[in-house]
Amino acid sequence: MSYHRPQDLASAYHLLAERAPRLLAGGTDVYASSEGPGRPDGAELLDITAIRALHGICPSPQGWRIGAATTWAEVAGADLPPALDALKQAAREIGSPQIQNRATVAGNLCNASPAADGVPPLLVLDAMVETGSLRRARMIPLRKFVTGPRTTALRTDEMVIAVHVPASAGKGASAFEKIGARRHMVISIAMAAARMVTRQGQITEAAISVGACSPVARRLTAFEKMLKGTAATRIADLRPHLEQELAECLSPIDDLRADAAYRAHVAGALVLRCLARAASGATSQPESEGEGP
Amino acid sequence: MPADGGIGASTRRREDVRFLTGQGRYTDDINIHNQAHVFFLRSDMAHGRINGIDISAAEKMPGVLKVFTAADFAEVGGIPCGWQVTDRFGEPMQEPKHPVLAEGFVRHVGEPIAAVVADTLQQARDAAEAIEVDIEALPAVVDMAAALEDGAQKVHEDLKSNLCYDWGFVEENRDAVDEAIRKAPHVTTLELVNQRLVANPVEPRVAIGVHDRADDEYTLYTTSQNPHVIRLLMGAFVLGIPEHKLRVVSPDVGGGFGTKIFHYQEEAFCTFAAKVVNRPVKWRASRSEAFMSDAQGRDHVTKIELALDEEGHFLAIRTSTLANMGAYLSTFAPSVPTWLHGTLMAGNYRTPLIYVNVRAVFTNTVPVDAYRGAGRPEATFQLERVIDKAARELGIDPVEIRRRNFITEFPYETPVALTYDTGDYHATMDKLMELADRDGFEARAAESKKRGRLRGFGVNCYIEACGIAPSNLVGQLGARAGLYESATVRVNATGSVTVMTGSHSHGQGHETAFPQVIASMIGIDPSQVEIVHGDTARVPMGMGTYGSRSLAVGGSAMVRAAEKVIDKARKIAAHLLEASAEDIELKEGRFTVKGTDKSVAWGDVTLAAYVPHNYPLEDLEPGLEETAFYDPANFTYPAGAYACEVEVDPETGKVTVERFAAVDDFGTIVNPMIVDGQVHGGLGQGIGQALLEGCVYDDEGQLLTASYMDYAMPRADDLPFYSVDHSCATPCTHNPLGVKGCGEAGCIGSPPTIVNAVVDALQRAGHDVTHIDMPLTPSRVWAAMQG
Repeated sequence: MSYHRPQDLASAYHLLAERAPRLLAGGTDVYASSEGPGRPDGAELLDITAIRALHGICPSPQGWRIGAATTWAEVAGADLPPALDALKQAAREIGSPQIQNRATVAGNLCNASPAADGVPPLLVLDAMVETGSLRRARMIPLRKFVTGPRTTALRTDEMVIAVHVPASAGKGASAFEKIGARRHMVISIAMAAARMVTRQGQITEAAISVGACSPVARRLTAFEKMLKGTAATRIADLRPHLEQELAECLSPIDDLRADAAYRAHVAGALVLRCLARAASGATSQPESEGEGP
Repeated sequence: MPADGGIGASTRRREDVRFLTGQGRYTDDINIHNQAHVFFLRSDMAHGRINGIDISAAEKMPGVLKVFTAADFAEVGGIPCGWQVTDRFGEPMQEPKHPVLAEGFVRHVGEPIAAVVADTLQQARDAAEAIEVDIEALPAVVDMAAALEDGAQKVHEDLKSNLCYDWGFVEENRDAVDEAIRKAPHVTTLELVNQRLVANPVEPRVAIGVHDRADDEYTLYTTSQNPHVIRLLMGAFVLGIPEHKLRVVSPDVGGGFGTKIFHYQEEAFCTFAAKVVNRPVKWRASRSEAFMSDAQGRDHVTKIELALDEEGHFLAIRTSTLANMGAYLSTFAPSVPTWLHGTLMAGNYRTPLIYVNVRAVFTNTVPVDAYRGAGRPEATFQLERVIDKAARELGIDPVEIRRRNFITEFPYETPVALTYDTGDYHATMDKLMELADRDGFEARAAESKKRGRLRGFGVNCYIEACGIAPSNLVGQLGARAGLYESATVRVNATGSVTVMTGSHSHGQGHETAFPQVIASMIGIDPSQVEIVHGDTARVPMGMGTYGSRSLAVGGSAMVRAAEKVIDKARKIAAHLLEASAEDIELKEGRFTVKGTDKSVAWGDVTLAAYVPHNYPLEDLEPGLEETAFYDPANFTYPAGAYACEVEVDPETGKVTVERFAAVDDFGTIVNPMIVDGQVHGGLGQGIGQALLEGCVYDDEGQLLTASYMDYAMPRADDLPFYSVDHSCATPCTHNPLGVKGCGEAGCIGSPPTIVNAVVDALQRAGHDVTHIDMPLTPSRVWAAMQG
């Protein structure tokens, strides 16, 4: 096994192009999927954590840039507006505090588990994934980046450089909810995130996503549209419409953790909870459209 | 707390210093010069016929010393079973051979097929991949009821069926029980599953075999709760090594919970292979191997019927249980669903007629054996659940129905062969109501409701039979061993004491609690007492640690040996003081002539024993060391009452435990802090079973919960703060310390408490739910609420 830990992106790109190594950041998924200590699976490892450009969360007029080597603990501790609360809440529930100190936001996206806790909150933030390689740089919307269970749009010579939250998604307030057998160190049965902007109690913008109930986490675009113009206090009245969209777009599975009927039901319950919390966060804000980065 | 650190002192555990600072000496810390490593090739198929194993490529791989298959063990015995159950018809149970390496068939996922011994573990693993095994798949036997149907696929071709035994207890009561149930004004019936569990001690199993050619002696280092038992089972039944040529060492062991009682193939393999390759051979289980090779626990499917009169008095109990043995009989497997389960069906109550039927079944799954509580949690769960259901059906308060049926006079002979010596179940329940603040429940339930949560109150009792066990009795019941314990108390010349005990300590705190007893008896500081355990070369004999027996049986042996030592020391003191031995008393470390100020210190007497210049040599041997074997006259009967409050989230079905109160009667308590810790640990495991844990196989016998990804262990934030009380103590009447044992109580008493509370929460909210099988996952609770 060889192990590389370059200091700059150019070296990383060269290694990627020439040796097709496995990328290593926090290592929490790489370790779990290897056959155990003393048992390298033969792949070369490219550790990206020494590359400075990949670290940290930077606000800019365009939004927020979350470097690919940024850990979930850094997200949880960052100074971010209420619109990004869903992401911070997910950051505190991923794995366990020890995992949060190692695992990265980008790694969670690249691992592409249907139950990835990071995906639903980033979906409601319209996140973009920035990739780089020797040949080109790309900006891929998150909803197109994760293409299926354990598959992404990333090519073998490419790596994720950063995750971007556009300034337009920095408005309002958001919330994240998940359910599993226990609070930490567990694979989620279902999860949801919602972001909402209100004006005088009316919903002007809503973004909703559900994870662990379909091969890739989904936005509920029809229900989002329906919420526009509705009073924030009346959301629960629209539950039948929510359940209709969930039935149409989700494909929950039966497994050890829960059966499909439960997943379908609880996804709706979690969405409503997220909406209620986001609404309460959004309406308590001053009558502006939220803060800029 | 006694100032002298003797009996009753909450002394901090001395062993924790080395555990917490990384200085523990676990089996995996032992590395023998020139050791080789073994990797086991395990079956990934639940059931199949082995048509051939080609090891030729593996043998040529770098570093490989030898590749072993069943053929190498042709002259060796199978892994023995330590308990023979006799069925309802007087016939012995069916007992299949349990080979060290799979012979002709594989019968569960994880069964070792071949073993590679190589210079390094990496080389052994690589070579194992080069072994070609031709296995023809056979239908897997997974479901117990299907396994017993006529014409079902057999797990063992050479047995008559998949039925290990059909046991009835008390068989003579069968007709009377049927009649009582037929005539009863009210019968409550409950069908339930006590799910399969994986014990999951933090330390995985490890074995190192060593053979010394110079004198043909073997040493096995292993993670065992009972090294002498392993010496007996492996030496006598598997490898044919006499005791004097076999040493078994169990150093610090990182948790056992029952699963490290048993003798396993890997132990026999390493010991055997060490001689063949003439190098020490080491094996350490990975966590994945632990999931598919450690004996698993519980796995009962039960129907229980409770007959009552109109006032809720119990008239009769009838149960029918299917108990999963797995593919082979682990060391004590047959005893768990029978003598450790059926005998406890009276619980804390006067029920005149009881009949327990258990059919033990072979399946293509990992063998099942004792897991913390062993049989008693199964008995308690079904009994306390059916009582709760009966109370609801009859409209009687669940506490009141229990009180109406409590045994109040002792000794009490149950209809299931036990004699409870002491107890005060009303006092325990009184204390519980106070500790759990039942009066405040309604206010807390109203507050929960405001937050959209359903609150429930659960209560139950438990009793266990511990201090295992009178040897003549268990011999009649089928045990193939005695269940006494031994101790040697060696007093050194300077007065310090070394105790060699057969009770192994793997988290129970013997190294702290046992010296407290000696310190109280002699009047010396506990720091002057050292406990030696876990090595057949250093401890004369031992039956080990399980069934909450260490202090009750091992501690009693130590007390008896210490009494002999003190008796001899008193004679030496009498000589030194020129008085009669009857006039000498031992107090605070001095022998004093009663009624005088003439005395001699403990240390002067012990020195005289080893430097016998002024010594009654014609009457007494020099030296001060005595051994005692203690065989208990009866079991001990710890009992208690538990209550908890849960909240159920009606939208998600998620259950949280908000309060938990445990009142236990453990008799005399030597170290209250250690007892609290034992109860806390047991409660954690019991709540884990109730809410989170469950071992699941699919229809093909594949283990679906083969790692921590899918097997949910409880974590600190899944558990509430506990209120624990031990003040309602009625000391055991038949052992010298009056102790009963506390290691399993929490794990036995708590699962029904949680389920009773969840059912209460749902019924209070108007849901017609009478039972939910464990673990009470959000999905299951929500499904139950949907009806």
